[in-house]
Amino acid sequence: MKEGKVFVHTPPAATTSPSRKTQRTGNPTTNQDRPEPSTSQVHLFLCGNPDRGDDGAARAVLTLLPQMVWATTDLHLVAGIDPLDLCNMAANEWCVIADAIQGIPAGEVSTFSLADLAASARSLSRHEDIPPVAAPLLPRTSPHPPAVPETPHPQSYVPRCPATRTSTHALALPETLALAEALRGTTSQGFFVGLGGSSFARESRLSPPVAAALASFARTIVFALCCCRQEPRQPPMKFTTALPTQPEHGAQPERTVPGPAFSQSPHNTSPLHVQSPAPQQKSTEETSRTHLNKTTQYSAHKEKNRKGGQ
Amino acid sequence: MHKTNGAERSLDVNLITRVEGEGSLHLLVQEGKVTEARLSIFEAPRYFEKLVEGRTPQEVIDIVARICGICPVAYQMTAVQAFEDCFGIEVAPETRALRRLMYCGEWIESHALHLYMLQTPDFLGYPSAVAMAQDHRDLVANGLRVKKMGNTIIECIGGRAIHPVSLCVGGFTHLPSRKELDTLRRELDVVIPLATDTLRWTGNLTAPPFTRETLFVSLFHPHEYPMNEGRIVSSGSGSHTIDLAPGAWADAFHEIQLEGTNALHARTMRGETYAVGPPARIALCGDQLHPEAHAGLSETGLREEIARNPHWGIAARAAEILHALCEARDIAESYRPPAEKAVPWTPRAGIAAWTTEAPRGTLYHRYLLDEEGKPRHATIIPPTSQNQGAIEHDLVESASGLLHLSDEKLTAELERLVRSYDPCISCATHFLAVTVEDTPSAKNTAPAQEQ
Repeated sequence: MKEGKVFVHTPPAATTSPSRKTQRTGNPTTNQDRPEPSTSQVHLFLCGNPDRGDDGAARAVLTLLPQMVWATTDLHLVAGIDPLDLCNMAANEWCVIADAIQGIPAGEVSTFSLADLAASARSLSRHEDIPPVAAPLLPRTSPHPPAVPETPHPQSYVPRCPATRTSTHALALPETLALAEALRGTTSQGFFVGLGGSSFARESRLSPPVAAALASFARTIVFALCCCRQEPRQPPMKFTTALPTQPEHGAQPERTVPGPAFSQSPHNTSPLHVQSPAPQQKSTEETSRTHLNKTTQYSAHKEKNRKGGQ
Repeated sequence: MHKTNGAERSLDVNLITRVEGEGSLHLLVQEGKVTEARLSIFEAPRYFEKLVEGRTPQEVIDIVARICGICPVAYQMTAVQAFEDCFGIEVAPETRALRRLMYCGEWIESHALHLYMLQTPDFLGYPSAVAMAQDHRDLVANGLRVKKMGNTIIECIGGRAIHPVSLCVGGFTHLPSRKELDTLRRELDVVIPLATDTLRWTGNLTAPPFTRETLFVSLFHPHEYPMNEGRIVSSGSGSHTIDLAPGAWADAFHEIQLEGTNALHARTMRGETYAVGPPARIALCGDQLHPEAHAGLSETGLREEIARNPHWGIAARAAEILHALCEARDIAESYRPPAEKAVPWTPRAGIAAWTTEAPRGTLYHRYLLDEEGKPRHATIIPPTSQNQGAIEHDLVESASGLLHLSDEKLTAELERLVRSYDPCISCATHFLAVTVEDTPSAKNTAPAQEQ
């Protein structure tokens, strides 16, 4: 089985280069000049800054991802997603981007289709066309958090969704995806998995709701990776899965997520079949807890709800 | 936009696009003449000057970086040099070079973002960089590479690209290794040809035919292109020419509060508006450009045009990108780590004031320090608040020749003019002293900021 790679996007020479840690070289932007195409790989981008509270959630989830994920996954540890990161992928490669986000309750996990996000940005060419896109689309790694429009506005000013406003300072995720799409000539396929954060202060700890939701975050990332590997690759229309047993309230948080075994049989036309590695952990109730709508957005495993809104 | 009585025409752009922050533009035309152009900033005041009061110098350096996500180095560098000047600290030449390298990184990433993503779509007729990228893939891809080079430099020196953490009073908390800068140097060799091509390409563009006279202000250093040292100088000649120490900005300039905006406007003591930024630096210090950038700019034949037409700021930024890349390469090549990360220092009471050249222009900090080196009062004058008057002046001048256009086209042209200054509205909304009069017709008044 092909080994995945780890791309640590850090300053030069700050990266060691053992066999599974590869320093990215150059900035190829077209499919023609990209090095070593690996069409069977899925790229996982874990974004954020571990020194900024909940912004480090995606980095923290790394230890919770099962070992089997790395067999066919290239890992990228980045502060924020860059169009060039996506341009380095082959046209038929899929990716999962995970980051802490604002605009949804802390600890809530939401997933979006990258194609949908890119489409939302394309309609932002003129401010008159800004659609009512939900605020969580802006990753917290953006240097300028959306301004809170509490100042008295001119009479004719119509407040717009600040999270989708085009900024000179950084490209929001939808714009990044749209730009990469234009440069690659093809839509970036895959999913964005966001975990709602509450504290982005200068500290290395995660807030309690985010720490409690890490396992759920990890499972959703794994599911998204599984969806990306589905042959033929289609946005998941139906999601049959079994979740590992949730820890009881007050129990120690689980340290690892059992890796689901998934079938990639060419005879199997349903998008994804995930079988629990531990049958005794599976229950109908838990299976039905995971919801995925017919497009590509889903909200999984709301820790807050599960724990009675703690 | 609406017209009244056939004699008055007003145009409102309620949210200027592709600029940072939330600002609007109001234009009033009476009897065929543009009588008023107002760039209003309604983004909330951010109170940074109040936030730094009572903080240690290192806390101040960390706090002021948050004023801007794209030019945090400028805010940090200005603050750190103000403190060092007040405390009588002299850093090693190697530290000075490293700081200059860091500043180069910021210029590169800031200018690249504006040039390739914001201003070029105006020149090529696209509504956005995303739309432009579909037809000009190589141009946008090269722009992203250049921008990333700037981020990489800042990350290498400062620990991370946004809000770096290594700068401190007396030097750095962390120094890069020789090996890191060797890697940087190799990457710069790849990117410099892209910037050279971009500068050459700007010479083939066509800008709107608008010219005006304006007063330029920037730092000037006799031996190098100005970044973090030099004297504050102005264009023009005669007794009104400005020539000040970098901490003496307030001797020649002041800020005023205008109705309808949350940003203070800067003026000279004679009440003149003035422009800062890349065109000002090219106009006043163009001979100090790195030889490769100087030659590239000469090849475009735009050096004089940059001073006359604000739209040619695109060429000024292209020249400064190439300058910063070449200088970064030279510094990386000759780098030797300083003997110590930071020289020891002792705080003392006094006035800490300094000016540096942020990507968008002259940035001034002034702190009244107590005996522990903690600010009791702070004043921060960002470039955009200094450019606002010049922008409004140019809007009046430019709009007068565009009144025959439809509302939509006139709006687009005026927005383009504002964008050519690369304004950062978020930076400009700094401290305001607001007094609310408790009267039936309550209205906000803002006395001039205490200096």
